[in-house]
Amino acid sequence: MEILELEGLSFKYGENWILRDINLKVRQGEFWGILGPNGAGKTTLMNLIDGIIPPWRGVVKIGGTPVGAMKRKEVAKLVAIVPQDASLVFPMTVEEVVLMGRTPHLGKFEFESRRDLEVARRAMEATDILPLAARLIQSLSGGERQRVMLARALAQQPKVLLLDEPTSSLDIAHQLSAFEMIRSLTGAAGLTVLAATHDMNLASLYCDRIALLHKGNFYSQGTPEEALTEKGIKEVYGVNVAVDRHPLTGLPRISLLGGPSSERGSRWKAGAAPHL
Amino acid sequence: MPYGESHLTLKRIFRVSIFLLAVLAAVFLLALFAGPTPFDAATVFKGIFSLFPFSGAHVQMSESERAILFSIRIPRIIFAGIVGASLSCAGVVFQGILRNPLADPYILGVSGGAAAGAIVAITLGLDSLPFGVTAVAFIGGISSILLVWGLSGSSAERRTDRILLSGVIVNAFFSALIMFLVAVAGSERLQGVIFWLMGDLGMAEKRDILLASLLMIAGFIVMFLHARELNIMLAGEDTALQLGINVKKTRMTLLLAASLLTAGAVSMSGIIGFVGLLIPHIARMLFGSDNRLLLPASLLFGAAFLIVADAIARTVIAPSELPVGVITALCGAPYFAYLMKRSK
Repeated sequence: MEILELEGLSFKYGENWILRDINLKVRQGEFWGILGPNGAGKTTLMNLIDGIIPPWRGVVKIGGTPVGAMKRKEVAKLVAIVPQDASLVFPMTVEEVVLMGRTPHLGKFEFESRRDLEVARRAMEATDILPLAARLIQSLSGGERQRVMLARALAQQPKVLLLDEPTSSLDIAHQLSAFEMIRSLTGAAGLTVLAATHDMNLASLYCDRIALLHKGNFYSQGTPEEALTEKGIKEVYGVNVAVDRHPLTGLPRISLLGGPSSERGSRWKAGAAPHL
Repeated sequence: MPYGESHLTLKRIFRVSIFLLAVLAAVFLLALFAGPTPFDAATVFKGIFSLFPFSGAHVQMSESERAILFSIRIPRIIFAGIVGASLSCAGVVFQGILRNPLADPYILGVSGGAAAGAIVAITLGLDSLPFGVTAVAFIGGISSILLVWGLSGSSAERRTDRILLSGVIVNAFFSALIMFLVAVAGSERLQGVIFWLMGDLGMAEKRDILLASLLMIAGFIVMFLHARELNIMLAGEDTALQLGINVKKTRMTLLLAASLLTAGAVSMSGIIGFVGLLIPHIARMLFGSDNRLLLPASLLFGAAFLIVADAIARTVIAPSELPVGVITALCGAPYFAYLMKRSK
């Protein structure tokens, strides 16, 4: 059944439409990659799904219930967002930050129980940050902080996990292990994931489905084969790519060919470079 | 430190609180000896013991010594403690809500707004009403913080420098308003006002002390009950919303409580700067950023700090005395400069 439904979702800042008439049905356990150029509205889409900003038109339903009709705390038990970075001003330990994820599950004046600690510990194990537990968040690298944010979201034990460029500051080993770990939580394990990302090959490798955002709407959505086409990527990003099947995985492989799509080949033809 | 030990437990709150209570008690006893009239230890302790019935302490104190100890010195120490505690807790909340380590009731202009409110009330003769001065001071204080909030921009762009500049503007306006009122009114009531503006703990009456302590307790309880929400808000408004916090309501409640504590302190003791900056900082360094511990720790530590500062103010140029605000600014302003230099 559909855990997440977006119906006619539209949003604008001032006079600028960021998203217009977005429709999407996501089944439980699916891993979606949300692709699109900078400013295509990926972050806005995440915030709309979580109900942090109200849509101009349309509705977000989680498990059939409109997000707008739920209390914030109820939404927080169902949906978690991994932001691009942690913006903490004051010194806090990694453990304290991950335990923040337990907030929606705690009573107003309740202290974290042994069970909450256990949930947080598992989240930190999964993201490979347990040895950093007592370190201050300010002392970590960008990649380590991103894994802390992921652990906090996992500690929230959501049904739907939204990732806003979750691997942008990770090295390739941690990118792969992050996607691997997220993948293992989806499917039969039951977690539904939407990840905004710029890496088409990683998305192709790990995502069940991909939606390509273009000027506030989905240019295409479907399996990686369906969504990632040479024509589509050229139209949406304005770059030339070759899409073929990876010889080992059989999945779509996207190779950059360079140059803007308006003129095939390189913009800087021999002799055409400006005098410097 | 292994996993599971760097987060806060109820036990740790108790342990730290008991430790700081002991520090506070020690500071209280030492401060009894500070002042122009010398006491010897035996007299003071016997005097205190004689307050308890059936203690059997034999007291040899003159009437004047007794009056100095019980009607001047002890109330003043208690009052210093209450003011220090109130300003420190307000500082914790302002720093947390504005996500700005340089925030403080004085720097943000909340103390200035409250002082202007208090002087308006005195000019209008509202000081004859039981809570008149404090109520108008509260209105002044809350208007200041809302002005600073509005002037410093939307949450995305609410930068440190904008917040501090807004504080400067609000402060400048209210200082001018105070000077205007003092000049226009010229009443005898406002004669001590210049001294009071630098912070004066000596003018409070018993009734004031009672009111200030009630405000402190009420404000502290409200803050402590929202401490975990405030923790989450340190990670930003979006994160707090995402984790299910009612951000607007929590922010308004906490700002009201902090302004109330500031107004309570200012309307009876004048403007004592930098306590709300210094204490939360040192407490955060010692005990971490979790507000469930930071609030009680700042309450007790702030009380102890201002008692010491006041004891120094009373003795350093004895037999006359300094406004305590001079001492706190002499400690606080260099510390502020250091923090500003260190933060980007």
